[in-house]
Amino acid sequence: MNEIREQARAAYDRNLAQKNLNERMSARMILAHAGGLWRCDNDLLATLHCYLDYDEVVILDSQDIPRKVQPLDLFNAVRIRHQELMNEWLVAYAELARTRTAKDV
Amino acid sequence: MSEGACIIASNSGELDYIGLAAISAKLIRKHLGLPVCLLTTDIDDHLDFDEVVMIDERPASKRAMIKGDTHITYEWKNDHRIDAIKYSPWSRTLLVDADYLVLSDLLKPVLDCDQPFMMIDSVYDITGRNSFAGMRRLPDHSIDQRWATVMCFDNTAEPVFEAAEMVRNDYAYYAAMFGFPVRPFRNDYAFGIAAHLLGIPRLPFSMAQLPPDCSVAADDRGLKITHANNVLRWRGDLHVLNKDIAIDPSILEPLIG
Repeated sequence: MNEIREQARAAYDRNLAQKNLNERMSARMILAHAGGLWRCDNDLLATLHCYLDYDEVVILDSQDIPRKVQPLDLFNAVRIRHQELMNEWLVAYAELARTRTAKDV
Repeated sequence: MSEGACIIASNSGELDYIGLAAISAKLIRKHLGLPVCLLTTDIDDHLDFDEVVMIDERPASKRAMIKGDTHITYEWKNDHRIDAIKYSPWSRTLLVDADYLVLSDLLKPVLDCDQPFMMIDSVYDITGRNSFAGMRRLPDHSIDQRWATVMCFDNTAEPVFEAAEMVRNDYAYYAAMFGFPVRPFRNDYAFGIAAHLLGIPRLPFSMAQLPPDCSVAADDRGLKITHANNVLRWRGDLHVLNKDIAIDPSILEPLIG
């Protein structure tokens, strides 16, 4: 009886699940390259894209440390990590969208 | 250069920290591919670890934690972290608490970058209740609180450990200065002050943390967490403050796969 009561009471907060997913995936969008840590977001992709015709540039990494990098190498690494994580994010999001009640969790 | 993880664990009363460290070691191997060293004061056959280093006993303090509707009091042996740089067999070490569950590759880039020392700067409560909002800064609000739950360092990080040792040796003085209690000793404060003094760069992500009043179950889909009447599913790295996992670490075995 207690178990049935607990199941009936159990609640699922979809907004919280969504917020946690964003936080978890965004934390993982980090890559190590040329000694620095880089957040593989749209800003970094756009910045690197501006420098693709340069052999070497200096840009700030995600810890605000200036790093000398070869933009094409970093761009390729960031693009791969970005898409890996985006695909994982899509799968997790689709699963989350299917979860409606506590019994589906 | 050798890379590996270290877990400091010694059993305390009904808390099987070494059993929990063995599960954590398997998760570290699975998700980060690193060898794991146990730093312990307990003489036993520790077959679940790649290396075992015996460390000296240090003074412990009493600590109370919520357990279901009641609480438990246990000896908190948390005073060894400052000596980890001396004990670690690796030239680049990832030091994690036994109750930090590695369930993703989140920490891999931290090992691969060139900073000699890094630790967690901020945490968030995955139950959405902001339980740790009051711990963003030290109690006198002067400097940010950092978290010694996860640290990454190489052999050149000695100045940080020396600064943390300086705080430990004069803990009452620093407690009065920053407004935290004199007992129990907390690595978060000692290393947080050291990191502040030495201007250690901040990590670009927060650590997921689970408050002690939540219960944890595991299956092949990850962790299922219950708090009040709410349930949620979790599949990433997580620092679990609930002591049930230390009382019965076998509840986490389905995560190993």
